[in-house]
Amino acid sequence: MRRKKRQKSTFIFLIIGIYIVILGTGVALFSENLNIWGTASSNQYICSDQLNVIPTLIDPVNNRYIGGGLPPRTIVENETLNENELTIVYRGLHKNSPANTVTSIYFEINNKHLYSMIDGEAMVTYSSQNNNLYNVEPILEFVNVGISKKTRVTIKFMTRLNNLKDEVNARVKITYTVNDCAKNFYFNIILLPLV
Amino acid sequence: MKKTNKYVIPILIFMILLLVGAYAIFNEVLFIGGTAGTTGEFEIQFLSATTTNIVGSNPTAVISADKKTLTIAVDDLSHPGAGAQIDVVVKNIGNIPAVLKTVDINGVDDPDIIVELIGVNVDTPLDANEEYSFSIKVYWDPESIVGDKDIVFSVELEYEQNTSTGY
Repeated sequence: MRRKKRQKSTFIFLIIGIYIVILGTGVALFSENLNIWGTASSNQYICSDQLNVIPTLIDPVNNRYIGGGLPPRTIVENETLNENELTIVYRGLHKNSPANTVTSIYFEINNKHLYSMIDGEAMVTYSSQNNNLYNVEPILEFVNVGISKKTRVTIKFMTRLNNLKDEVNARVKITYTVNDCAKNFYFNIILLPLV
Repeated sequence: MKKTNKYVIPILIFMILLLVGAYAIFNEVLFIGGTAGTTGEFEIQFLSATTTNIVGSNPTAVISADKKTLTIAVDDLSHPGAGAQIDVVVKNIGNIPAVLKTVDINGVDDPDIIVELIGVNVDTPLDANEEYSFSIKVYWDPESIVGDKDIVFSVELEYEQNTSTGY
């Protein structure tokens, strides 16, 4: 009697098991997974030295980034922006010009980094010491520049056309620290003699 | 003997209910498929994977033979900002409407190598014979100063029968 009862119970559980399997199969038919497996690796970090700043176009009509005055008896021959380097070229209109006249020009740079630019500083280098382009003095409006903020860079300098026979130039290096990495922007002043 | 009957009847009722439930699901599938036969097929596959916007890397994207797995490799990212985008197309080649039920992403929490899914939205329906496009962007964070990293990530897209469609 007890054996018969056990057989019956086994039979019932077997049937329930089969039904569960059938039901499970039915659900599985209408559900599916797609898998994406990915790997990525980076090389050793090398800090890029380019300051990611875009100068403000002060005069869109003439495509000019630089505002302010003109050195005595000169014209702007051209102005170019090449990645992190802005250059202005002046051409002398006379053989002589008054000395010790300060010219002040400016441009604005906009922080396009995802971090603040901090500890800003500017220093000047000359291709050669001369008496035609001298006393170049860069002034940063802000030492620290927040994300998407801008700062004005003012450059004061003196020029003299007397005895100018070849190109003379000065170079200003503007350095900010971005996310522990020193990055630079360059500004060049070129003075050409009368043709 | 009487005691056995007492258990057998509720169990039989329970089994019948299960049967009815299972049948109801199957019946709904046939209804949505618009067919009268038992030809309902639920099949979602990767149709294509194309690498685009490649900067300083050599990415690969390979779909498996059964078209259920996509393997991506964006190795040798050369500098911060380097990376690639993989444009993926998924297709419902069955005759049962589907819906993207869950998206399970793992291994994308590295702050220096970014993995972004673009255009992947849960509950997006994918009707029979329709395609669904999305993108995966893998790149070295432009502002990162940490290199020499290896990451492994996975994305699981779970599709289910879309029971919200039908008459």
